[in-house]
Amino acid sequence: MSSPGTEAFKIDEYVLHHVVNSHEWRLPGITITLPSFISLHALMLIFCAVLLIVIFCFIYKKEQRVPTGFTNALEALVEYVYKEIAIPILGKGDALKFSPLLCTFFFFILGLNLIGMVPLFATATSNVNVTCALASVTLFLMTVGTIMRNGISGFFKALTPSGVPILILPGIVFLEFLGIFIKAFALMVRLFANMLAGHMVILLLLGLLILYGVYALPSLILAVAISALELFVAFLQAYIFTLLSAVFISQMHHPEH
Amino acid sequence: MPRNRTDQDNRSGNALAASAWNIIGGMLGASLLGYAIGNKMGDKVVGTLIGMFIGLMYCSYEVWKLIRRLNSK
Repeated sequence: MSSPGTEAFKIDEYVLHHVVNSHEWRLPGITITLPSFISLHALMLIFCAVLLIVIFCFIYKKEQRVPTGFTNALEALVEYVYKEIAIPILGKGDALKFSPLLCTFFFFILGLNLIGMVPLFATATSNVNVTCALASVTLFLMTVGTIMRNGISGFFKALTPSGVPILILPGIVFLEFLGIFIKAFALMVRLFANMLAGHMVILLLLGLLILYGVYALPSLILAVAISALELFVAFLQAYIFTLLSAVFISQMHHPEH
Repeated sequence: MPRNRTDQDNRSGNALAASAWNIIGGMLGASLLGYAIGNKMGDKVVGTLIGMFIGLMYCSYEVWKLIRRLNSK
């Protein structure tokens, strides 16, 4: 890769490489052409999945009586998801059942977001197809999961709020039914938009350097600050996706609450 | 002295967090759906407008639900 200032260095391509899906993985001095059945974002998904398996199967030390170091950090995060998200929202009974799913959501999204922050890697969560697939899991649990748990009548009971006049009930049930899909859509858009927007802001700030040269040096500092904010957003979005998935599943499974 | 957060506070906070994006998602999702259906049926303007109207209805319903939840505390 050429250094900034030379003609071959294109900062827009460099930053967009983080968010745009393609069949090429550009590394310094070499471009790896991926096979047609796998895109760059799909590769990142596989990479993240393998990384999580390695971390939880081999690096995490289960036999430690008093966890220290990385094991301690992982346990703190798992415990946070279980005690602060699963139990208060789903109740103790369901918390144990749904914790593996919620932890998978949290660590997988967090992993993808953090991988996207590493230079030369790509942010798979800035691809709407990836976030759509993740939101589909929640949608499946909100619909099929509710029917399997509470039956068809229980599913429709969840769509019928109490204390509503019978005259407007059909309209409310229609809006509630529409709401299931809107909630999944909002989950999808939220993650996708937040991850894409962060990188776009960095692109715009670095673009000022190309346009105005040394006069735009403050924008470099801003870009670094935004990158730090992105790191926070990576954790925040993983948390929000997990929290809202739990809220939406709970609303359908426990309509009485 | 700050009081401890109760389960009811947690639920209200969660509902508020969920509603904020549901309102945006409702407008955007229903409008896009309306556009897609309208495009298939030959009149995307009418489709989009109907989608927007349904989206607005959903947003109003979400706000009503939120107010009801907060008032029931």
